[in-house]
Amino acid sequence: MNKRVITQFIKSNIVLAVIVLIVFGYYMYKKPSIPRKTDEVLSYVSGNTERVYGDKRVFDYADELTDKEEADLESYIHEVEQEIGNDIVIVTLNESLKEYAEDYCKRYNMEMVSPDKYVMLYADEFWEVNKFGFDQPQILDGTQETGDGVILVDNLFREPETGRIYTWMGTTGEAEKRYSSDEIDHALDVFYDNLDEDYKHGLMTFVTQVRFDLDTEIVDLAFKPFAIIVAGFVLLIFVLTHLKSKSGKVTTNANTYVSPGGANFVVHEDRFLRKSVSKVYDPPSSSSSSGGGGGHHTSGGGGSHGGGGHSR
Amino acid sequence: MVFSPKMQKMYCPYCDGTDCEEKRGDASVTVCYSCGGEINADEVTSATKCPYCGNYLILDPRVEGEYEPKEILPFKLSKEEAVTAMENEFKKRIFTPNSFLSEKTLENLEGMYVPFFLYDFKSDADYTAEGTKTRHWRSGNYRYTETSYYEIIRKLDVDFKKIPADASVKAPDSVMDLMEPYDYNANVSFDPKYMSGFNGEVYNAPAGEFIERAKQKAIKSVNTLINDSVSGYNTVTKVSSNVSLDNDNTEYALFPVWVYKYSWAGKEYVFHVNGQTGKVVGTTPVSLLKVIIYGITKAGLTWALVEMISRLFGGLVS
Repeated sequence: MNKRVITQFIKSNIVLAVIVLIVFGYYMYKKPSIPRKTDEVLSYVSGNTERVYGDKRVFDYADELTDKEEADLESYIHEVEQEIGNDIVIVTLNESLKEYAEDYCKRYNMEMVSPDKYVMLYADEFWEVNKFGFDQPQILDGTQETGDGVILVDNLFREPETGRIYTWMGTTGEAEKRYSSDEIDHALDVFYDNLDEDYKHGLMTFVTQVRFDLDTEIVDLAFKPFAIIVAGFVLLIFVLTHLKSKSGKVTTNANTYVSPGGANFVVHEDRFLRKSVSKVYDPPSSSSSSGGGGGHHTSGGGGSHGGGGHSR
Repeated sequence: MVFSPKMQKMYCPYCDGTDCEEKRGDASVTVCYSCGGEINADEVTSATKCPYCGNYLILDPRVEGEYEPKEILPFKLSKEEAVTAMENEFKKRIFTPNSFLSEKTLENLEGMYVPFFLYDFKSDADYTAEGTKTRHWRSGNYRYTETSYYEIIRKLDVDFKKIPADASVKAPDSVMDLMEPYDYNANVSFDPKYMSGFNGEVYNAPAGEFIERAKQKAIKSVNTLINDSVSGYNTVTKVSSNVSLDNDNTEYALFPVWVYKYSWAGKEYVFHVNGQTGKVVGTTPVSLLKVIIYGITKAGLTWALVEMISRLFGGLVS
C-alpha cells in the first residue's frame, strides 16, 4: 500500500464518512441518555413517583377477583412491568358509564360518543388523572413521548342501549408507539378467549400477552433488516459497476467531420395532417380516507392515546 | 536522428543537436543501418526499432511512391507527456493494480504512426416521419385527449470532410474510433523525418477496404442531425429514411498514437494515447481486491447510516 493508494481510498469515502459522523452525532444526542434496557440491565426502573395509587395496578371495582387473586395479579404485573418498562393497569367495572360519558363530553365540548366508546373515555381519564406511566406521568401535549403503559378497562355492566359488555384496551407513550390496531385486537381476543374459564386467568393471560408484545422488540439490538438490505444493494451495485472496466468516452459528435456550413436542410417541413379527439368518462374521484394506526385519538384533556375495544 | 515532439524538430540524441545530418540507409534494407542486425519487419511495417541496438529506422520503400502519405500529423505529445496523460486518466480509475504505470512497465510505451484513410463525402438524405402532438383536458365528467398528426419531411445535404478510418488491421477499430478527433489543422505534408524514433505502418489494404467504416460514421452523423431537427412531438414514427453518400476524395495520412502494453494476471492490456490530443483509450485491468475493499467500506458506511436513520425515525422502515 503506497501513499497514493491510501489518499485515493480516503478521498473516495470521505463524503460518506462525514455524513455518517454527523448523523452519528445527532444520533447520540437524540438517544435517551439512560439506556432503558441492555443486556446488562435486566430490569427497568420506573421513574414515576407521582402515581396517585402508588404501586396499585389492579382496580377491581366489579369485585370479580378474590383478595388472593388480586394480590397474585398485582405481583405478576409488577414483575412484567420491570421487564417491559411499561405500566399495566387493570380496571373492572360493573356500572353504566353513560352518564360519565355524557359528563365527559360536555366537559370537553365533544359530541356524544357511542356506547362502545364509553370505556375508552374512562380509560383515558383514569390513566391521566391517576398519573400512570412507567417513565413519568403522561404530559398532555398530544405526543407519544410520555406515560408509557397499557390499561385494560372491562365494564361488566350491559349498557341498556345495546345490551353488551364493553372492554377497552388503551395504550399510551411507548406502548402506543409499539401497538398496532391488529395487535390490540389480538391482545383483546386473547383476553376474551381465556376469561370464560376463569376471570383471573383471562387477566393473567392478557398481561402475558402484553409482556410478549412489548418485550420482544424493546431491546433494539437487532439490526434493521432494511439497513442491511440497502447496504447489500450498495455493495452489489458498486461491485458490478466497477468490475466492468471502462474504455473511454466518445469525443466526436455529429458535426465533427461536417465542413463549415456544410450541413443544409433543403427541405425542413412539418405539415399538419389531421386531428382527432377522444373522450373518456372519468368522474372526479371522491377521496376520503381516515388514517391512524393503533386506534390513535386524543383525550379531552389533550393526551395522546391508542387503543381498541371489544364487546361481548 | 529522431523526431522530437517537444521541439517539433529532428533531434540527435548523441550530439544533443538539432541540425546534425545522419545518412539514412538505402532503400531496400532489411538490416539495421547502425548495427547491421537483421530487422524482422512484417509486410506492413514502415518504421520500427532495431531489436539489437535499439535504433529506430524507416523502411524507405514503404513511405515512397504509392505508399507515400499525403499528410502526416506529427507527434505533439512527448513520451513523458503521454505518461502524464495516462497517469491523469488513471487517477480517475481507482481499481487498477498498483504496478500499473510503474517505471519498469513503462518501457513498453512506444510511439506509432497509424495509417488512416480520410474520406470526403457529399451526402444527401431524405427522411419522412409521422409525428403526433397530444393535448389533455377535463370537462365535466370527461377526460379529453386531442391528437394532432403531422407529416415531418426533411431533405438534408451534408458535406463531410476527412472522415478517418484506420487502415491498420492491428489497430483495434473501436479504439481508433475513440481516439478521434484529431485536429487536422496541425497536419503537414508528409516527410519521412517525422517518423524517426517511432514505429510506423503502411496502409494494410487499399482505401476501398476501409470505406465502409467511414460511411457508417457519416450515416450516423446524418441521422443525428436529422433527429435533432425534429422536436416538439410526443411520438415520432419513421416512415422512410434514405442516405446516399458520394465519396469524392480520399487521402492517405499517418496519425500519431502512443501504445502502452501492460501485462497483469496473465492478460495483456493495451492502452492508446492520442499523440496529438493526449486522449487516453483503453480497458484498465481491475483489481478485484480493491473493488471489494472499496465496496465493503461503502456498504458498511451506508449500513451505519441507514441503521441510525431508521432507529432515529423508527417505525418508518422497520
